[in-house]
Amino acid sequence: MRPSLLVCLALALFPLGAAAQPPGATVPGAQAPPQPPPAQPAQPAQPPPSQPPPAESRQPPPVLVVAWSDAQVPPELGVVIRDVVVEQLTPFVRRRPVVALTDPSALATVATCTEALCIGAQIANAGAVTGVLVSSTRTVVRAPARAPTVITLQVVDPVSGAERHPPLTVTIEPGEEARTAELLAPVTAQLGQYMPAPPPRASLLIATNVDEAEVTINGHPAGQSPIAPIVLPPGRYVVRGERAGFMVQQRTIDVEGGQAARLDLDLEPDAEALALLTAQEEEARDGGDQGPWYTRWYVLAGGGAVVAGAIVAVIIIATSSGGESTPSGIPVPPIE
Amino acid sequence: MKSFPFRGHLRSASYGRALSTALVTALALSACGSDPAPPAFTFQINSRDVVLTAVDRIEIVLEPQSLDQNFTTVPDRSLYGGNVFTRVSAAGEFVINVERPYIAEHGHTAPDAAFIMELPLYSTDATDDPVVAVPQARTTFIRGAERIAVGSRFLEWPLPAGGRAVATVSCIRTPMNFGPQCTNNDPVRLPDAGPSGADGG
Repeated sequence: MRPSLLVCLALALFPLGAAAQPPGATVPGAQAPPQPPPAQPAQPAQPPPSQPPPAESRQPPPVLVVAWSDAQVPPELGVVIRDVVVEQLTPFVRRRPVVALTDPSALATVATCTEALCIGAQIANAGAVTGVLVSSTRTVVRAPARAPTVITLQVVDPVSGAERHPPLTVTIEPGEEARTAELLAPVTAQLGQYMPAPPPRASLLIATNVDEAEVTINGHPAGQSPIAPIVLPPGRYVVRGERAGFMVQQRTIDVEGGQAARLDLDLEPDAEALALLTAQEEEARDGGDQGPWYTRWYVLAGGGAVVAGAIVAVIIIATSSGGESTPSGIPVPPIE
Repeated sequence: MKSFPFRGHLRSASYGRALSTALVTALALSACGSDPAPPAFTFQINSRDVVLTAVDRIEIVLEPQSLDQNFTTVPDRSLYGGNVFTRVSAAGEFVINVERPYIAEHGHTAPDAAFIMELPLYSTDATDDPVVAVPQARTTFIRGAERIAVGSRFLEWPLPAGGRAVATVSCIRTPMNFGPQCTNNDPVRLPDAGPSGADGG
């Protein structure tokens, strides 16, 4: 039986429990829109956030591509080579940026370096964890335009400038410039094995003084407190906690790599909101006690929903043979 | 004359709640009747330098970015008539093995590509988890027992229904060597079953 059919039958049998849910929101596995937060009858006045949410997490030390060309190589080709190497190495570097050294003076220094320490120092000065040297040369025999471009690539360590492997070369014949990315791809794939390990992750424990507070991290729902420690990349996070009857709390925390950070969110009661909540609860209780049982709103709603549910269930059962709720293809399990 | 018994007891607020609850429930129920299958996510594999007939098997490994995140362990599955196998490795990666019959049936060429093949995927859990980083898909072409081409790309996560990702796979070759193993249309089988006559005793 299809899961959605089970849900429908459940709705038909227990319509009151589903009354507060948006239509279709309880279908498991479907591409349902995110559920809105539960209605809070007493929304306290929210203080303005102390800091604006950050746009990005802090970036770990990058991989630095140092690319230079000799005078015979057209500058625009040199730029293409540099950008292609940056783009093709990016998939091999987990959670690290790959950036190109563009400072002309630093590039000139590297190009004239005669010792590994000199190159390593330039990479270290850029704050990079690894350097990728890319040199493009043309040996001119007759005319520069008819000479092949030889690209040499090598991964080196910062500070020491130690080479991690023998240089790899790619030759671009005249007229093959448009295939630069294609020709470089196999070699950059080989360089992938010399890329640095991913930066360590951090964990964040969010502790609240009250349970059942809705917690968000950078605007994303993180669940209701109490929440188990969350593993995330290093960076700055805006954590927000709210619960009906309490003032909204928002704090910002910088989490370092490998750190087990803790953030305490103390939600203070909101007297005005609590009073409103209490009044509404009393009103609901008073309204429910008046009149015979069959006049109560939930009895009427339940009766109507059962009738409607029964009709729709019959229709569903009659048409369920041709229905299909899961896409055809290869199911990929979730990541935990 | 006695009036209708409900009328004297119903307050407008209660009546409104009753109506809205019944309406919402009926809407929810009616929405259940028509739940068409959402479209799958298309994982397209392209290669410009590997010919279709040189590939015996394709291995696609979906690798979580974080070392402490794994794909949920699920039983091994055989799909498409036994030509596609899926499993979760001990390292927590989701591994898809595509065999030759599926490649032959679904692979094709184009003017700008020697190899194009599409694989429909879908996330069984479409919940957006902010702490799950997007996984990387490593695609490897295998000929006999030899890895002849590789390609990587990151995937959106969870896989968006109807979405598409194109992974470019390039022949593994050393500089100045143009990798005939990727362009030879006449597959040369490695002796994985042992040379004929070697078992004679």
